[in-house]
Amino acid sequence: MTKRKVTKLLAVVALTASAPLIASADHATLRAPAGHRGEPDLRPAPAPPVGSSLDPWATDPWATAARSSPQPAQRVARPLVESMFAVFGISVPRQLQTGAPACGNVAGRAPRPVDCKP
Amino acid sequence: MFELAWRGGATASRLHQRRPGGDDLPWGTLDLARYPDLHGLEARKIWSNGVFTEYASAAAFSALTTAMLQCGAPVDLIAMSGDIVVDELFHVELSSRLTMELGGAVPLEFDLAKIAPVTTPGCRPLMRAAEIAITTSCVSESLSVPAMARSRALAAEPLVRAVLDRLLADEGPHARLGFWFLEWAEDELTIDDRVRLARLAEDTIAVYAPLWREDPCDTCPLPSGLGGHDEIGKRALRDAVEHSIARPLARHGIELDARRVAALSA
Repeated sequence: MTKRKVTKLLAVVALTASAPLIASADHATLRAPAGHRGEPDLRPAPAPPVGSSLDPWATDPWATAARSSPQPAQRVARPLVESMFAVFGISVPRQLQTGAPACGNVAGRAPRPVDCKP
Repeated sequence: MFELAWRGGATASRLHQRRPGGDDLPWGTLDLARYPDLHGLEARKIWSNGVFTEYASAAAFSALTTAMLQCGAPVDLIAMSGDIVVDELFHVELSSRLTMELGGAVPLEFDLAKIAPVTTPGCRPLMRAAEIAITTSCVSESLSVPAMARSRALAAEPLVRAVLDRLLADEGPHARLGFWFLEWAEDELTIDDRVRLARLAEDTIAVYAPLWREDPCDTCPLPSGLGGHDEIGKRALRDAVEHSIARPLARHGIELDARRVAALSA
């Protein structure tokens, strides 16, 4: 049995510029193209349409069908990982006193160190 | 680094049969050129964090489902909790896709081995379920409703509005589940249990308090059109502490310290 290849649903995407440049960068150059149809395509593999007559349990409908969108699992190249961290920082999610994450989609702004460090 | 995988095919089909409509949202329509660069970056941070919180919520409701099974809670209540896990994973999918359309996730660090809620060691299953119900549903999800509602009110992009609509439609029931569990468990909770749960609720609210306490910042990017919220959103969170958490808990015999609640929501 062939192992199914997975795609990235969520991937960290590096900025390919130095920190000072990024502060004034044209954001359009930093984002993926609309629809993410170029390389790398990071969208999830599309499921068969709801109500499709295909029985997903009887056969894998993608095994033989042409697939235009899903890409093999791939990590975005990170040649400038360190500079990326310098720009973004590494967010630490808000935590309860137990160390478990504080869930609930509550934040209206990106986490700040003062909010997140336990 | 927090990144997520997607298998596709039969497993995705099963999810989308139960949570249809996700592919019909206006994907590919974001026009980030309309926003200042830093707003786009801030939106990536907000939504990356949003994906994580939805993922953490899935873990929390999963643990709540198990705890409710262990304490013999009503079957339909347990089924609702299990179904909420799927809601949250669907939210993870939608939020992830939006984050990728914004340009991709930003680095976020958390050991996923610690994603499950932690309860008081040695407590009985009923109290374990009650503790998770309080932290996850009664407090966290109750705060999530006004936060998302404000983000939705400010959102200008059709895709952001559509994603928030889908998320928001589920949040109300997610916040109700904990109170319904407490209603069922009421007769089994001792006075000591209720006091402990009240302190737990206060401690959990305190974790979120910096969200509405931080000073207004005139220079910080506020990507309202892309999903952030504002001072009105902060006021809504403060109000929710009293109206959506403290008062409903009191109706189930879990009385928060009024002075501490007032201080936390100040």
